[in-house]
Amino acid sequence: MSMENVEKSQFRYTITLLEVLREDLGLIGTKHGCELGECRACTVLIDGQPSLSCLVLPVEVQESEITTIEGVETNGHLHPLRETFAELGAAQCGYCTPGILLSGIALLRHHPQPTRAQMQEALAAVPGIPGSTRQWKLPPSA
Amino acid sequence: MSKQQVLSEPETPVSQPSYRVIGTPRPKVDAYAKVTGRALYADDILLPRMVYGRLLRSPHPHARILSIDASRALALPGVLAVDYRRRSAAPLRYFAFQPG
Repeated sequence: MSMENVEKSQFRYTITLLEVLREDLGLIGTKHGCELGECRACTVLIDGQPSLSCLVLPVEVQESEITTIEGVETNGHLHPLRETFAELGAAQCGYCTPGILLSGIALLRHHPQPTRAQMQEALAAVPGIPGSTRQWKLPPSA
Repeated sequence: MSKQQVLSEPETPVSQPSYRVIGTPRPKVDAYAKVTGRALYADDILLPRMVYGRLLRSPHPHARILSIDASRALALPGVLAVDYRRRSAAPLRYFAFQPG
């Protein structure tokens, strides 16, 4: 998150992390989609791990570091993955793009040279959910 | 025009290396907004004095609305207005509003 520390008392505790981010903190780069953990538009990094903020309650992450799409800009430069997305026009409507980018950035942090299988897994909402895996199937070998 | 002509490939224009736009990849105008999370979608927009509308639809697939009593809806805290239109033959439309 762009902010260093957020006081617990600042937000309502009966809503999801997604709603805290968007409505209480005004970080609208995280997108509100299906609310079912399927579309991945709400993906944020919780302690570096891609997580679906629509399924997380604020109390679960009181001690965690949350990174949203607003928080991954480094020294005024775009992450190479974002630069590439922009250059190649990878975002169509773009609503799910922040979530895809965060998943990709997290993957590259752990595996700077990921295999195709690792990419496929990272781009699926949860490994093993076939719908999302199909949605983000990579093009045949590049 | 014969079928053969219709199906034939369109004539390829002679290569024009002087073109600066046609035939070259152009960046999307909103590409950077979208990869930085700054692109605004309808759900991201907050306007002063904005209120929210809800459409209440019939739970019955085939029924005739004989009357509408909005008094309980209007009594709910935060409800600004309940609107429904009655036209002789047209179906009834029924709206409720809640503030944000």
